[in-house]
Amino acid sequence: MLVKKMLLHPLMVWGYRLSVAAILLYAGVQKVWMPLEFARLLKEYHLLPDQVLNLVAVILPWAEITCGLCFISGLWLIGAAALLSGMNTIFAFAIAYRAWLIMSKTGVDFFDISFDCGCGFGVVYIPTKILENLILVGAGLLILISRWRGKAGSRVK
Amino acid sequence: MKIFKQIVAILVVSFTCGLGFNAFSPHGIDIFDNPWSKNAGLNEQEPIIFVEFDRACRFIEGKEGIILDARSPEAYAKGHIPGAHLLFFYNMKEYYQKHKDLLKESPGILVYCGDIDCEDSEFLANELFNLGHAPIFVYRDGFEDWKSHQGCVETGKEKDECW
Repeated sequence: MLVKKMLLHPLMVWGYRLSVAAILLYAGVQKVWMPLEFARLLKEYHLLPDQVLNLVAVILPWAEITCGLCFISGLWLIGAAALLSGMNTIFAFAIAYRAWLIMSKTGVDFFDISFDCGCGFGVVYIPTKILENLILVGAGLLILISRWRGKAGSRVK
Repeated sequence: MKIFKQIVAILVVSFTCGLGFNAFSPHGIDIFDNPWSKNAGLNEQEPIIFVEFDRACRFIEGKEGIILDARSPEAYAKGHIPGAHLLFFYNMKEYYQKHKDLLKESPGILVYCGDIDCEDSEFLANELFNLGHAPIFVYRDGFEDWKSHQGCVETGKEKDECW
């Protein structure tokens, strides 16, 4: 109960919002300036048809930037939190899938894999990256829950 | 319902900003273009050049630069082009550090992986280009093609790994 209270304390929620916003804005801005490079990194996942790679590479960084701004301003906060959790769940699965492909193709150990996942932070160790994505999913869910609880609380009053 | 409205609003803003920024940015790209083909970049003026056996041979015989094997350490140990250094693409952090100085000094780089269907040489070439290395030659048909032309094969791990 105490942990739950702490996790959903308004100051903590502000902390999540600002940290997540900083990460999203940094990652988004990095990619906005190099859409072709980002599209190439997306291609390496073999999850999207080549025809839509460029479009996704142009839109996705702006989705991150918009969500980041929403976390700072408080506008469309529930939508941004849901998108954050949704996108990072997909990213975590995509990275894990690519890691699995690499493991089955090369026989390399999961904990030895590192590549540029297109996340805006260059070459990273994949186990750490997946963990980071899951933390972001958790942060998004905590922001969502805190919002819903806040709304429910105000209705009761 | 509110949540979906907000998600749609964020996506609409992202689409608008993305397409608008792309239209006016100097780094903007054609969103309907599909440049992801190994047939692209056969022009020697490009920083990444796809080459076939003959050009790869000339690179090696003329000692035009460093040769990199983008495959796994196991595949490399089983056999590789003589003089090639292992730079396993999926463990760039470790292998790039190992060859960083050599790559900086090298006037050119030849990269290869398994065969025509393998993309790791292309990925590695792009990564190296982003790290400031050029020109980079990608031996498009890879090690299987090298063997089919009766090219010499060296086996074993890299020397510095053995010692």
